[in-house]
Amino acid sequence: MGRLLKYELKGSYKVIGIILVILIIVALGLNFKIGEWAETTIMGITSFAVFGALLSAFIYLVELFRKELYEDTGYLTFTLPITGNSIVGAKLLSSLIWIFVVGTIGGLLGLLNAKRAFGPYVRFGSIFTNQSFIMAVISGVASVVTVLLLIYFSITISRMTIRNKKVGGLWFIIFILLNVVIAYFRIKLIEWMPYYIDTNSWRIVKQGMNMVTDININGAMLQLSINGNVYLNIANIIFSIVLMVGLFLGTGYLLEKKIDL
Amino acid sequence: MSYILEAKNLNKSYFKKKALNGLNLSIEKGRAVGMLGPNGSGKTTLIKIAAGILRQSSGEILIDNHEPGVYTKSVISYLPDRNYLPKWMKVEDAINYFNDFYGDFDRNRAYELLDFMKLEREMKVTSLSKGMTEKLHLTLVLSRKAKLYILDEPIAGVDPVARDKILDAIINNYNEDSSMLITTHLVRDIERVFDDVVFINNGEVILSGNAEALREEKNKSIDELYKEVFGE
Repeated sequence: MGRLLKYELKGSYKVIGIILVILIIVALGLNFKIGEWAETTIMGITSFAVFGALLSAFIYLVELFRKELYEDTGYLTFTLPITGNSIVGAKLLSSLIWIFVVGTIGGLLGLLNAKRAFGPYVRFGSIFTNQSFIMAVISGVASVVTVLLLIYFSITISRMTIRNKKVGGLWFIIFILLNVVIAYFRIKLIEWMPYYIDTNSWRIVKQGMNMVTDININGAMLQLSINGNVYLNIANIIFSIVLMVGLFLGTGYLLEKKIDL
Repeated sequence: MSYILEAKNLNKSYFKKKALNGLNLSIEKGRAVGMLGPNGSGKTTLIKIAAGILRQSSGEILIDNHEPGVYTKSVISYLPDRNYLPKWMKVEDAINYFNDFYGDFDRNRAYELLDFMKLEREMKVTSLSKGMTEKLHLTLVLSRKAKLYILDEPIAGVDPVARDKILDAIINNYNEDSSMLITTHLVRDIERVFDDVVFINNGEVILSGNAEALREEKNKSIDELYKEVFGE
């Protein structure tokens, strides 16, 4: 898998580099406008640029996977003496690395602009040590992994069903349907097993849905906020892990044993 | 007798169309086999199943006594009939790629073949003409010490002078430990390479045998025999 990962990164660094250069130019350009333009305008455009860069990188990385199944480069990748899991692993890891790079640089540029725009009101240290920030990072990584694996799985199923590349968009319908089914299952699961980890005391508590003030279904971890405390549903965490492993192994199996090029 | 490839009652269907229709084929180790047939006869389908990128609907295929999978991919050196190298690569990247993934890849042999084919390591894959791309693919495929070479239309895009050079490269590379399965429409150009030939039509083997024995028996070249078998 490491060898394929090396070539995945080598083959994609130029496009990611272009995205990053554009993002840096926009963010630093906005930095020079601080004092001239309203702070909210600066931060609005900065956030939009960071989001745009992340979205562009994400679409490009998904497209790299899709191309393996619909373009001629698949004849190279799928005749290598490696397992389907290695292919999925290399694609997933390279995507995570680039999303992390773009996200981190985007985040730092956003903080840089925020610091200059809002001055003493922003305290970086408190953001990074905040428990909810750490929870958000863990949950964010798990969400990106789940979404990428769901997309890989959907593209693979779509390719197995219809060979014609002109109807390659079928994967998106499969992806939406899978998301709906999974979200429905998550809700039912927490109704059946309403046991949570209280992230303040790390104790297991039973909570009813009527206590919930904020619900956050972000793909991998279902969080509930009750009076500011974050609660993680135990059954849902287990389901999320099983789902990720299942999607990974399922896609690897289909790529190795079922794909017709 | 030991076989490098054995296909038994192999079928492949695409909805109503049958690409392979109960095909039976055995290739002995150490032989160079020409697989001949018109467009749509099932040649590429069989090759793709052997290469592990297409699944049969029914029947069995074994490569070196293994079903197509990770092992068989490590002993097959496959030349597809299309440009499969990523656009970002230079010739040197492609050599490194093969060297990293195939334990039987001989880098020095690759450099010799590059010189022979008049290709330079710094050339970008996207800057190569169709003929040069085919030469690069052949360089990569022939630089492996594989048990089975599968070449799908290996000289279709190159000029007649280059064809002879490439055929020489194929013959020089070939040894008794390895076997070759070659498909082509350019029968006259390539028939000197074949030990055995297999004629395929409508997904079935309709004639097969030792190339020299067939020439003597029919008093025809393989090219003439091809025209007789598949002519109107």
